[in-house]
Amino acid sequence: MTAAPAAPAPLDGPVVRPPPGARLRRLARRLSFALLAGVLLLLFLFPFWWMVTASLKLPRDVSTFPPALLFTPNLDQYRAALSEPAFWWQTLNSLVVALGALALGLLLGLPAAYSVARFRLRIVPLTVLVVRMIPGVVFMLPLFLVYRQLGLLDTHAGLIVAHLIITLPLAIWIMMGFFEDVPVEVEQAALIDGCTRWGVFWRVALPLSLPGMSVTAILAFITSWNDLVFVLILGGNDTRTLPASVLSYMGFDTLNFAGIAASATLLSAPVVLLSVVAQRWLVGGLTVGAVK
Amino acid sequence: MTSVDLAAEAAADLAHPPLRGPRRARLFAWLMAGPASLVMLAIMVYPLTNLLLLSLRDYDGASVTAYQWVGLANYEAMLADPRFWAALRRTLAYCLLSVTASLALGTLMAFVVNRRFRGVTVLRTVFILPMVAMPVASALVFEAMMNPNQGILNQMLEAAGLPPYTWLAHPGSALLSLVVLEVWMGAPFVMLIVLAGLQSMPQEPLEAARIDGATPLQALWFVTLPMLRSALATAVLFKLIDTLKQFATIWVLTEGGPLRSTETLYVYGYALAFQFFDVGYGAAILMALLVLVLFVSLLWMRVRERAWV
Amino acid sequence: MNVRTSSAALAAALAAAVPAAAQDAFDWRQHEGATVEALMPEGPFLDAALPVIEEFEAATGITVELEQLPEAQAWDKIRVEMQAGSDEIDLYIGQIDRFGAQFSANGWYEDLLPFIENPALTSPEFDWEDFREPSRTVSTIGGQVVGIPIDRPGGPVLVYRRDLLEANGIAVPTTLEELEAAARAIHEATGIPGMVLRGSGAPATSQFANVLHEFGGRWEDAAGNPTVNTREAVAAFDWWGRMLRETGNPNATTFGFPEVVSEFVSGNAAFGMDGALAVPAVINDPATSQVAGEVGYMAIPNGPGGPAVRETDPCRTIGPFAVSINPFSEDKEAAWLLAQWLVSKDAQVDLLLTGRLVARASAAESDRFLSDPAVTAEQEYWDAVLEASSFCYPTVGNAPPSITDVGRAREIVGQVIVASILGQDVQAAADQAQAELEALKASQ
Repeated sequence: MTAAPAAPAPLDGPVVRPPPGARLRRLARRLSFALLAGVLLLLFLFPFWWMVTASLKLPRDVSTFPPALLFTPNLDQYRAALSEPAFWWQTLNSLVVALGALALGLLLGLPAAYSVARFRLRIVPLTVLVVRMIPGVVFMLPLFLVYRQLGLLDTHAGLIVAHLIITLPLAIWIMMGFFEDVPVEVEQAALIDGCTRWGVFWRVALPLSLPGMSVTAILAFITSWNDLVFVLILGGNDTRTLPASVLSYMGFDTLNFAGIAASATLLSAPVVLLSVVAQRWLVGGLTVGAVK
Repeated sequence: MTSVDLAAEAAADLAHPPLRGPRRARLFAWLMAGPASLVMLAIMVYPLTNLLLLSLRDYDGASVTAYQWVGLANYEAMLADPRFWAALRRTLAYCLLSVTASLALGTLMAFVVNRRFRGVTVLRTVFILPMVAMPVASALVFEAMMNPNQGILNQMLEAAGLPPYTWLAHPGSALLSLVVLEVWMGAPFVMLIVLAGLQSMPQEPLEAARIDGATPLQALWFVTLPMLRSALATAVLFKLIDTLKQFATIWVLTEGGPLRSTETLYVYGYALAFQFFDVGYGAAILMALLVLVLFVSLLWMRVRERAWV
Repeated sequence: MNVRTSSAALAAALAAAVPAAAQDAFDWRQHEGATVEALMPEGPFLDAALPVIEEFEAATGITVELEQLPEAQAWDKIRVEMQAGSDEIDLYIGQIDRFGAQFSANGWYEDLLPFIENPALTSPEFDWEDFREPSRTVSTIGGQVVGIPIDRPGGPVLVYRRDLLEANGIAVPTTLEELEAAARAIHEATGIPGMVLRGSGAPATSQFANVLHEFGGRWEDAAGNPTVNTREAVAAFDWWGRMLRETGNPNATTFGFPEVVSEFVSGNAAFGMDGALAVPAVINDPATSQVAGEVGYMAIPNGPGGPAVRETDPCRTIGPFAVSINPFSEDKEAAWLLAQWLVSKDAQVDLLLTGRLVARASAAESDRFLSDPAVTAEQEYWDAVLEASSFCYPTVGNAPPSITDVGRAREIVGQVIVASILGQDVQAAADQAQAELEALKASQ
């Protein structure tokens, strides 16, 4: 979009030569662009770089300056964290809850999003927006009380339902736009061919919006995975998830920077990997449907 | 029509729902949307009603029977409470600074990654990371980096011969430091939205402008940005809501200090309810926050309609 | 960890030594098959409890389901459970001054006195009188025993870097004035900050209380009115802020106890004073500490008030951690059995050996303690800590005790501390705090 203007293609007529110095200008532009990109890259990468390197050092070395760029990595923190059996079933819990919330969110949200896209049920996006506006703390005590009554505390099912607060609005919001993008003619053709409305949804709209579903799935998974608030209040021993373990490094006695860094790295690792793999979809597909 | 437009239409249209299409179609539509809507309403209604009722009581958090109804007294006290107004100002300042900076930085990032060059995928991936990392974990990492004595940021400043910055330690700099974290986490989202807008933009106007002799800067200002209006507006709306509702990172880093300089409405309400055992008043503050978010969102959607359509 | 092995070994030895008849005198298996749900914050008391729980389960046939959470989350969870009148927790470890007044007023504590006095439920080994009188007093609110105290927050112990003092020819200070001079001197000579203290507002008030006392200041007068803006109090606030601001730590407003410990053990301070810091296990931790072996301990030096201050009115420190039972629980008796084990004489000696003062008097007098080589190696520490605790008593609430809203009171006082560190007008800040405290007290 903002590339340096290329020399105009040769047309009939006298050959137009690029004005003198244009090559130098182009080089300067490229360099300043590279510089800008480099600075931005550094700014955004720096905290992650610090986090990973800190996790590989002895706690006492974390704050020495200048930070050793080359050092023998010390895997103590990781060894300690990964050898705790707690770590593994916490990961399992996180997985179960995130996948469950994702599945349920898609199950309920996809039909709803389709409704909005095709039938203009405008109350739904409004509700979604309002749900998104509510501060998390408002949910805490009421949900705790209701869950206690229903015996849902410290259950995976309970957490999955609670995480719907996160995944359902997300699914509807994103898929609304994608369903709108499905060409109406294709759907109408199917209808004429004798397909039921449900059939159109199931066999036409859904397959054509798979990219959108991927985006939704990834974002919903990540947000549910990262959640802390619901898990702490509505969960318990059986359902302890990974994020809660990060907090245990803000300990009674010391601030273990290295431990915090290791814990944060382990926590973000799956999410980061997911983003790396899916970045093409995320970048290309996140709001292509929703923004026109 | 963007999703935001739909919501805005719904807001305006609530009194007169349009009847369109055959009845069977409407029935199908409601069946499809029904379960999700019910779930969302159910999840929303009880907590909101609970909050409202709490705010009408003088309640110290003890067992259910030990409270008194005081009607609007909490709200009256709130309007007369200088600490409330200070928190409101800070919430708005935090929001304004974060949204503006995220918008600027995110748009810049979008332009940078919108081109094809070697390593652009790496760049894009790195740029997304702050958005998907766990906020509390990111906050802890920033806290360690911003540590005035042992943190790497001040160490680098000193190595460069500059005086150390007070970061989270001084009332004058704490809020700004929090804004830095918020922008680091929030700009990627803006980038994604603007990038989507850039990629679906028609090319002709830009080429026409160039042929007419516009400099890149002029092309940017007069052609590209106006066409990104819709994307930018969506980004702003989401960022407004998110920053007004920000809590976890602020609480973890400063709990509202030093000297309350980072005490937003959410922080104040939370402290009241969970540290000072003044749950009724805390609920009133949180209601005020909710109203603020609603108000700002509706205001923005209005402005958008009037000025930018 | 030697805590676990010594505890297990001792239990085995005891079991073998005690005659069978005496062992059967108290029926530990009376609630066999029950389940006790316990909640404990992460930290040394949890660590000490783990082996005890194992033995308890074996000896009583009761299953213990333990939930452990980081401290702040544990407090939140306990509060939420009490608000909801929930029976999810039977027993928990909490801090008496954090919850005390509030919980007691709401009826959220189970009175343990009837349990203690019931010979069917309480083993003769329990011996309530073995707990020091101040510990018993602080654990009794409104005539109810709200928790069995575990530790005995000691008086203020100052830690100092012997090597830095020697290298710069500075004598160990004997008064707070000398301490200030020494801190400044070391900072000027070496660039290392002279003193590290908490500074982040409310969390600092508990440590500040000791200095307040040494200056002759008090939280409130005999009638219960707050007195935080008296000359002595302002002098104390001023001293605290000066010690941080002018000896190298002007940014201490972000320092809670983790930061204080971190700064000192990484070598960034000549002096330090904090309940979480003055523990040999922390100072000598090889993973984090760069100052092991160079540290000296002493009880807080006298302030301008002189030694007389301590005689007329003992200083107050924070309240202890204690084992409490949920009044809404359905398994109180089984929980009470667990409670006894958690604070048994042996468990207390084990805890004492890790360097933390405990509530039972017998622990420090026990042979096991006195003959432990680790104890004799850290003689200076034990002398300091025992001396400091001789003139300081635990209390409920470390801001004006008669204000029940401890959280808000601490927050108000904390602002004065922060203002002092930032170099603002301390008298004005103290006056403001005084006004706010008076309003708070009036609205009680």
